[in-house]
Amino acid sequence: MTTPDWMPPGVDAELPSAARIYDYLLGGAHNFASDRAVADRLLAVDPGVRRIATLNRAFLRRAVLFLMSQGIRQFLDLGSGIPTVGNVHEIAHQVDPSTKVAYVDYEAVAVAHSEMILAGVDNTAILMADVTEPHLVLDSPKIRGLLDFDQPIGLLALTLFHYIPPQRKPFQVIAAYRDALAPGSHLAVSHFTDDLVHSTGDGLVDTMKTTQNNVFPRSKDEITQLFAGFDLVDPGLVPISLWRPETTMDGGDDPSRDGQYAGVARKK
Amino acid sequence: MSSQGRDERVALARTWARAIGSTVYVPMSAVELHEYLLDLITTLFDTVAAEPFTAAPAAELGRRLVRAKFTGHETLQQSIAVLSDALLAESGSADRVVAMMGELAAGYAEAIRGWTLDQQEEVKRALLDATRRSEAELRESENRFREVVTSSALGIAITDLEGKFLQTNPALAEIIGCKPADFEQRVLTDLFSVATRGQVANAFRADGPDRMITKAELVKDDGDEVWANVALSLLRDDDDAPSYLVAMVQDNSELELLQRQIETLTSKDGLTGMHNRQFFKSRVESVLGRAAPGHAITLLHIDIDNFSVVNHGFGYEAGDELLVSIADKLQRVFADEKAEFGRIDGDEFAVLVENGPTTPSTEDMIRAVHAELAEPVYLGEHGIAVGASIGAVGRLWSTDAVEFFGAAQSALRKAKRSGLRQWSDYDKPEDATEKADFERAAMLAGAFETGEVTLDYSPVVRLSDRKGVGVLAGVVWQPRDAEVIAHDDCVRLAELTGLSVQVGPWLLGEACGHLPIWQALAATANAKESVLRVRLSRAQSADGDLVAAVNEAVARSAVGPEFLQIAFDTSAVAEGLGTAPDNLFTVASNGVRVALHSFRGGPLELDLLAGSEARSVVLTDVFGDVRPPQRSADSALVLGTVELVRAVARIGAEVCVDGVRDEEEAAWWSDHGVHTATGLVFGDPGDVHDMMARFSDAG
Repeated sequence: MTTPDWMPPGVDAELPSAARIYDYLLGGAHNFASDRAVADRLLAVDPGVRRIATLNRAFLRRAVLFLMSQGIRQFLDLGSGIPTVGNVHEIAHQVDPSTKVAYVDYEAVAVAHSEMILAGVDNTAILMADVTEPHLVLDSPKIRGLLDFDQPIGLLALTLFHYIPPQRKPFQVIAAYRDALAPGSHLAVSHFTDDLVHSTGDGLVDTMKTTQNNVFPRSKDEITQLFAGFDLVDPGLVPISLWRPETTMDGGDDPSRDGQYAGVARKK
Repeated sequence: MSSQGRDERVALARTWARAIGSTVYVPMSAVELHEYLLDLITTLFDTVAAEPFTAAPAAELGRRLVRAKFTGHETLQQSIAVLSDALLAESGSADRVVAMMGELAAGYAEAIRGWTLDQQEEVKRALLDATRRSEAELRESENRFREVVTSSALGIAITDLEGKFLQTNPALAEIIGCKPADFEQRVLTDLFSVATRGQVANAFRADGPDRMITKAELVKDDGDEVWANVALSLLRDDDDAPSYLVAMVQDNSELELLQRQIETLTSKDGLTGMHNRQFFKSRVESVLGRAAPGHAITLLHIDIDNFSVVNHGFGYEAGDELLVSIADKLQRVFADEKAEFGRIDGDEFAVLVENGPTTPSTEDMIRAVHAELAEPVYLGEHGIAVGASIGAVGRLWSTDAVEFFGAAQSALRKAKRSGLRQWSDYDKPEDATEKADFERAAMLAGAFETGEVTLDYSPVVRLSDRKGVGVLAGVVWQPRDAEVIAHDDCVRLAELTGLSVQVGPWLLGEACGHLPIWQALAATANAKESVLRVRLSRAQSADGDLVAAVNEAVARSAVGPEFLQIAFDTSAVAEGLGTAPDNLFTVASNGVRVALHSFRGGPLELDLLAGSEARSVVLTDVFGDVRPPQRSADSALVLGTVELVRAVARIGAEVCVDGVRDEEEAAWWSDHGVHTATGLVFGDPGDVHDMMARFSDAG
């Protein structure tokens, strides 16, 4: 479609968004009928998707707390989506209220919503930008005004890169962010994969095609490439429920149905 | 509470946590969750055992579940299943358990309804905010777009798929030369020529590229067809189906015009339209590089003599006009040649000729240039002709344009040194007299054309018997609005502009036309002296074309050359100016009698005389204002003069004295052995009729 660059992205509540579907799967009500319809279709294809969503949210919490334990006090959350339960700043501020958290998303409703949530919350910011244009993010006064790139930053790219098609060059995108980070910074990634679903991954992929966000599952090797220039911390890139579980409950019933790989790595 | 009861509750909390965790994401650590649930379980157990029993506190528990965000799809269901079993086992009262679970469900339902409404409210507000912002941005972007379209110098049109105009901008109407409303009746392809219409139509094809940039021929409303850059973009709707076409048109005609002007400015001399110096040099380079080896190429470097005379005398505008006419003349001379022309400095021109089979010799080319330039140009009523120094060079062994150009310049310098058609030592005229001289000098050429300049004869008298034996031919200029200018002044002016080399042949030609008359008169006077005498100025004496002019004049007269005497300027011959020595020798060899005028004596000049064919010398104004009879016979002046005449006589040459004023002077010269004389004492100068009358009186 030839859409001139000067056209701002429109707002279309009728077009389901991954962020709102995710919110619904997590038990949230920040969603519309169209989002719920897609979520219900996903659940019909694979009832495990609710668990996948939950596992991801749990990983987020564990990853943020791990990074805090490593001394990280700045977070850049790419593709942050709807500020549903257990946001990064909520997790981090329980430990240290001075922690800086910057969110980036390009979905207009998610951004507007985030602004409402974050109004009056110190040490937070939300930027509306396409994360696949790293310079727009990295050069943004909003981001630069909050985060100090000379100090380690926790870069969060959860359930993000599987929405980025190969032609948007995901590996170059992550490299641009990596290059902007100080040594000691960390990258946390969760990424959808066909390796860890029992239904045909195509079913989920096809269902997501009716939304604003197509899904591009990747193999473990491909996902590992996102960590180029970083050292993966234990236990490496693993099914998401196996990444430093707090309890057996976190481990869930069957890691082979986790749907996502997750890993955290430290910049050399 | 028993420790067994405590263990039961902990086990229950663990079971409940697992049940909840499978239905919803819980943003708590496992420990936090456990503690939270254990607290709820304690309340429940207290409630079920309380006396009197009331189920009401269970409602608050339902609300607390929602507040803790245990809001999953099956959270309530799973919780009731886990709790009701445990409570039944604890209390054994199904009624109480049912009542409590009813309250808990009611509290949960009430809370989740409020929570859901809040969240929906929140997300709708977010949607509204986002929509408002997006609309504001859209409006702003539309405004920007409109401004760009309206103010763009590019012609812009948006059409539907039939090419019908939906939107056009003022620039497009201006380019086409129509009114904006005129587009309503047309389609996009109407704007283009039939030949290029198909190209534009291609842009509408759904299977073609979405954007193309092409050159197409616009048809303006006045019928003009101009090439334009055209960018055509097919816009597609959300279903990828073509919906609109955007056309942008860049009218290149003004740009091209400008480009041509710039090219002209950078390659042409603004005044004459000839190549400028830089461009001429590049032309020389390319001609040299292109021409086959051995192909003759001639480069002429032409410097207009004393052009500043015209600028000073007539002003710069007249000077410019003259330069334009010179440029025209040069182009006329080489009209039949493959030639390029350059104005390479203020008054310097260059001509590059690629020689062909009919190309004349270099000498003939130069002669033709001189002849053409000698034709006067009329600036107002003044006729002006110019002389030029010309350096000519044939193609060198090298094809280096710089060397070639340098060789021509060096040839020019040589020509200037020789003094040919070149006046030197010219300084800016400081006073009115000088300025007037320059003005007159520049007008002299025209005076010849209009007949203001005529032949002027003076009688030549044999001193022994005071008989007229011939005439001295000169020129006189009677300007329409000024006093008569005599021969000597005419020559002085002509020498200023280099015109004198034209005057010489003219004078010879005219005077020789009368030669038969003078021959007849001389016969009556029994004269063995030449009857027609002409004196050449320095430049005339040195002129390379002199011999040809003399030969032509003599041939036309149909009388023997011995009746003509040509006096060369002594200093010109002595210095070897131009071809003066050769001229003297050749003219004499052809039978014309030669003399040396402005002869001053001295060993060198006497030696020159002795070695030359000249058998006559002319003493011109020998004493200045002093006259020999006024001085004593033993004065140095008199003695020296007497010695000089004797010395000339010893060489075997005759002496003629010019400017004799009175009888006493004539007698003195005669006494001292001078043969012939001219001067006012022998009568005023006059035309051919005056002379004929004088001779018949004398005869």
